[in-house]
Amino acid sequence: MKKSLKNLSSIFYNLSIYYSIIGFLSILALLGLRDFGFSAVWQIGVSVAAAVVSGVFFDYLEQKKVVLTPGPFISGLIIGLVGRFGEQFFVLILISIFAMASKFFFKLYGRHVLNPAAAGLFLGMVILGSFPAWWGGSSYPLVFYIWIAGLLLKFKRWAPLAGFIIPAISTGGPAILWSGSFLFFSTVMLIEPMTSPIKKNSGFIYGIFISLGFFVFSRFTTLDPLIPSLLLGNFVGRVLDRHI
Amino acid sequence: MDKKIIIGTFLVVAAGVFVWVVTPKPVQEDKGASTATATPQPLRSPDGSETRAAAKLIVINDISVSPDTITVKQGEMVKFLNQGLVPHQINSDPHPTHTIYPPLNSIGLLKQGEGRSMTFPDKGTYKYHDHLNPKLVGVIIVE
Repeated sequence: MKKSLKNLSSIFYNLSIYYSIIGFLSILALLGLRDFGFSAVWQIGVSVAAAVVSGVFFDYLEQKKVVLTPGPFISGLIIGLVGRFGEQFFVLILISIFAMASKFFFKLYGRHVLNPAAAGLFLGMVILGSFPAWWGGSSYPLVFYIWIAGLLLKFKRWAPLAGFIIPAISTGGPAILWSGSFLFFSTVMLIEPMTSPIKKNSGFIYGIFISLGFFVFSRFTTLDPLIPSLLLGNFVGRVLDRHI
Repeated sequence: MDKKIIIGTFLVVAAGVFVWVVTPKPVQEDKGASTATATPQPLRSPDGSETRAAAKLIVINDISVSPDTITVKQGEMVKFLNQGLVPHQINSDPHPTHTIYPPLNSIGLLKQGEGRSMTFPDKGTYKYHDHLNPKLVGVIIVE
């Protein structure tokens, strides 16, 4: 028993953030299966398959070899859980392709700068008219708080979270803390390791910037406010990390 | 913090989530309702006598909300009915945070044929949308 606990403990502490996110998103997918039946599974499955295939393709263009990384799985899961529920499959496939293509085309300081899922969802919104629904986990805010505890304990990604949530409460009110969609964005997309700042100071400023963007986009546009604010924040965060 | 406590907590929570997922959900109210009006709710006339009026009905199908703008009296019942083929989730504006009028979020997820009612005790204009398809929007004006 002691050895099993030790092994589990070792697994927990060696688990990378990428596989942890995949695990968490899979739990949200299960909850979606419970609420919506197999429609949820098909939506997520199509998005993941399209993201993985296009991810492998674009990675091959860049590296001249076939590589399979966690990134496309994560992007596909996010697109499936955030995209409009019941969306046509070809739209989901295009959004996933856009997402993986953004890693190839939009780089800053040698690596991709935009959150891939957010880039795909943004292009899906403005070109295809497919507005994100943020349905994944929207009825289960408590699950996100368990995830937040894990994020803070193990990965210590509190700076972007704090920078984003504190101003957002002042504009959206405390009810925002029980919004599954808001929590999904904050705890999955905002803190994505490759496109959010590594340093605490720049992470905090990045979170504040995105919170301001959320306020502006929600007041003055009809776009989903979270996605474009994140994309702008990705650029700002990359510059901050380099210069602060 | 002791590693064993962390692992133990994680395992308990994981087990809880598993049980939660596999447990059958409770039956939703108003399941299978297909009538055009809901159960009438008594309203008081100015002279104190009771009058009966049907709840105002909002029908959601997969491409529209009908009527998309509805005017009701304070305290009057409004029923949301899903007559589409896919689930719809009625939430307060704005999307996706639903914070302007949180009581509207109690309508929530409506599967095919399901309906749910609520009253609006205060005057005002209440905007809502289908969280799963944010282009489906509506307005309730309470006078």
